[in-house]
Amino acid sequence: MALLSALPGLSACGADVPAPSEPFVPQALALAPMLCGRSSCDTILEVNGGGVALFDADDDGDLDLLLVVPGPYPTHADPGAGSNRLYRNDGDFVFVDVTPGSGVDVPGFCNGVAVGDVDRDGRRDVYLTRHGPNVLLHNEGGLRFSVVPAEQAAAGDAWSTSAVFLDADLDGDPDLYVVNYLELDPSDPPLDGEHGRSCRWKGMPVMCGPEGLPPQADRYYRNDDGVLVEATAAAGFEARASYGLGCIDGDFNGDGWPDVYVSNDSMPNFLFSSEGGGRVIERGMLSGTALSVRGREQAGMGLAVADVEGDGDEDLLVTNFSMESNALYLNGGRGRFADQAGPAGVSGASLPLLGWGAAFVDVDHDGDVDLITANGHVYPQADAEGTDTSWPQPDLLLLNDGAGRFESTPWAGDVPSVSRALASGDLNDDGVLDLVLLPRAGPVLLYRGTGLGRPSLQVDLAGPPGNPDGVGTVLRFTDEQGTRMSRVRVSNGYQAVGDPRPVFGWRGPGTLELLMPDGQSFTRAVARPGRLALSIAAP
Amino acid sequence: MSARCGTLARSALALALLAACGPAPAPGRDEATAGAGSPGEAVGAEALVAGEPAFGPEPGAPEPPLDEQDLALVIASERALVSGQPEAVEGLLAPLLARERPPAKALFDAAWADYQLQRYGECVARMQRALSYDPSLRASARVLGFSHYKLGAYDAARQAFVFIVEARPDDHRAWYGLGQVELTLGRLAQARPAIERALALSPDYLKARHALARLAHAEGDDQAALEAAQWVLARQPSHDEALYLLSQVLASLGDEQRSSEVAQRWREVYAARDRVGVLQRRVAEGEDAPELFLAMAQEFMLMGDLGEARRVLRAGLARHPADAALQRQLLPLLDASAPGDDGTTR
Repeated sequence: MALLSALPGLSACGADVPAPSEPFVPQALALAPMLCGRSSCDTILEVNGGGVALFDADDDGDLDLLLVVPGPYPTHADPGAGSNRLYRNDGDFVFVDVTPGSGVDVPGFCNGVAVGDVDRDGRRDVYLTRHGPNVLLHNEGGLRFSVVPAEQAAAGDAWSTSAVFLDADLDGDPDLYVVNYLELDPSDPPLDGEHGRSCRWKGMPVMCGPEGLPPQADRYYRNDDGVLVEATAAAGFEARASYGLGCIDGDFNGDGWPDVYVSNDSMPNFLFSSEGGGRVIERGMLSGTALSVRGREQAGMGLAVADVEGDGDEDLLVTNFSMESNALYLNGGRGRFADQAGPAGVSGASLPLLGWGAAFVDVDHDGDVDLITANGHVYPQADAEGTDTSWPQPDLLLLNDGAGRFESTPWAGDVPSVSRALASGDLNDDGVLDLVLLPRAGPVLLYRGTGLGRPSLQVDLAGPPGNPDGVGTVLRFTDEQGTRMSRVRVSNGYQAVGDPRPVFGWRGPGTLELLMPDGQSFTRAVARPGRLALSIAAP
Repeated sequence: MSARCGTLARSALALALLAACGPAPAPGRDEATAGAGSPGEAVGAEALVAGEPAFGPEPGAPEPPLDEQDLALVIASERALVSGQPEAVEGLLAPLLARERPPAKALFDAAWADYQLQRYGECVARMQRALSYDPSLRASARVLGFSHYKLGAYDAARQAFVFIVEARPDDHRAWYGLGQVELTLGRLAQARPAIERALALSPDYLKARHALARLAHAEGDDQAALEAAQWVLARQPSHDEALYLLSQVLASLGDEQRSSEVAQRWREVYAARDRVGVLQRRVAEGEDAPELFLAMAQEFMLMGDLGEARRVLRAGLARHPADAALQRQLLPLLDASAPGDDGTTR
């Protein structure tokens, strides 16, 4: 391990500019609109929306933007055309469409995305989940990608939603967990009244599913020298086939090995807890993270992970259906969790809403993580009278009081929309996390973070080939007010990839401790806010 | 009652089966729904005429008495409610609800129906309007509290329940509702006396006993939580919430082996409920074969719910009185102990 550089701090706020009063400001950006089948949203295939990845595709130090656009309904689509779009970040919110010739616009009904350096060449590769075989895109450099042959690329043949790269066996390269949803033939979709089906919600006929349709089992792929090899059972990732929607990595049992949490729609969620040596065991029920606080399966969708109450371990947020509270599983240590959404103030605010993507972000740079959830119903019929909910819904911003208690606050994004995936990242490199919110269909929304003009410490790790972003590194920043922890991850839980660079709201000088995936650690004093660039690559 | 029986409430074809499921209303995912009880328990026809002691703010214009014709409609709507047909209420009360100032009791009953149909916002709106016309109904307006609770308006829910328990200190369901709100908000010290009061008033109230188990677990008293959860499960072996809680308590006590076994039991119950749900849908869609009722009863028996099994078989026999298989299956159950029959099930 070598500490190569500590860049001068970049202030998060201009000294002469009045402090902004809002944590986010809408930012105009000409991106391709999202499209997910028909506007009428007739089938469950058209519900989940697309994905987004904020990642450094060209290795120039800033976040580029990949939009994963499902496109027209499969039976209406040009089989040779793709809808995904890649945008190069030219700074100051200038994004240039570099899709033509990039190779990202693969055909097919794409949903989600994962990013990792599969072949350890130092460049971030892209994995696209689809209805049908998934696609691994090898990063050739220069914003060019090539399709990896299916037999090496964890293609599968399911309807995949989310995926996450993680080094489950700590051998230095990223392995892959893929979440699958359900069986559906787009040319013969399940419809209310056909084949004896009754698909009703609050007495109204609605699109069918997921209940009544066959769920599909998830898959885990071990990285063997750049080839993704199916190892679901061998590694202990085998579990009941479920309607999977989201997944995220973390170290929930605190043993230093990566774990995986999976949100399942209307079925118990999974927590694959490491047992060391790259093996896991499913402990959702035992850990208290499989069901609601009342012991009921919920419509698990989006996920976010952070140390919510500042006690040094990672907690879990799961978004759910309308009239189901979002779950906030607080980590009690020893791999045990308790859903504290009610006491934390998350439950009441979320009940009328149907949540999708979620992110914990310190939006006001006061030192604790706040919560943003993207919301929007699955049924256009939700706008009917008496449903207690609606098709477009406000996206929620909940401010943390520092002790893990949240309160909803008005913000720029609380205009009703039918949102789906969400990614957070510092797009303009000002030390403040911005937000990209995807609707199911329509214009992509971008919100520039202001941090209320307060400074931050942003940690930018340069990892070795195979892990260029230092994923899995745990950071503990201790200042006069205490210690905060953050784990480097790129998964944003639901069909999205976000900024790997942790941002701590600045409360004063302190000491930063880094614990790397290989077990090595080091500390360094941090005297001022700004961006701290560190290399954790072996010499 | 079966967790999924309530979903049948939306289909007229399923009314016969609803009887088998018991009077509990909307979907079984909704514990609070069943906890609300029914309006008939609180305000009967006699009270409709005589009114009750006034609580709360003074009304604006006095509520005029119902004439005979209106009263007949209100009584018919209440019959529909207590017999598990909330979807019929709107139609029955339509002539009254269409008036510029509907009778408070009509709004009150329509609000109960809304609640049972999971139309919580509409329930709140109608109930508040009813109470503005006739504040004396407030002490019977448990569904106002439960609707606020379902919508996440916990402060409003608490206020509604506090009002009721002050006005009717013997209303065990309102005490339970109050305890449930406090428990949800993590106000354990406030939750305990409310839940204990509910149990003191109704010692066999399963929902309150389960809430006590949850409370004890939240307080860190896992031994007490264990005992309360086991008490619930002894009376309703398929109580999935109690099964889950028990698995959590056992894990917390370090007994992972038994925790895993209970979790497995939860999965079996969950799978059986799914199968029952499929059968219920078939009945709701018009199938009427005795085998459906038999299969449903067998699922309930697998779950250990003899009371539910018995109800389903009786419903089947009501439609197929001569079916020998249904009769054969029911006979031994008539002698079996079935706690579900004593009204303590959810």
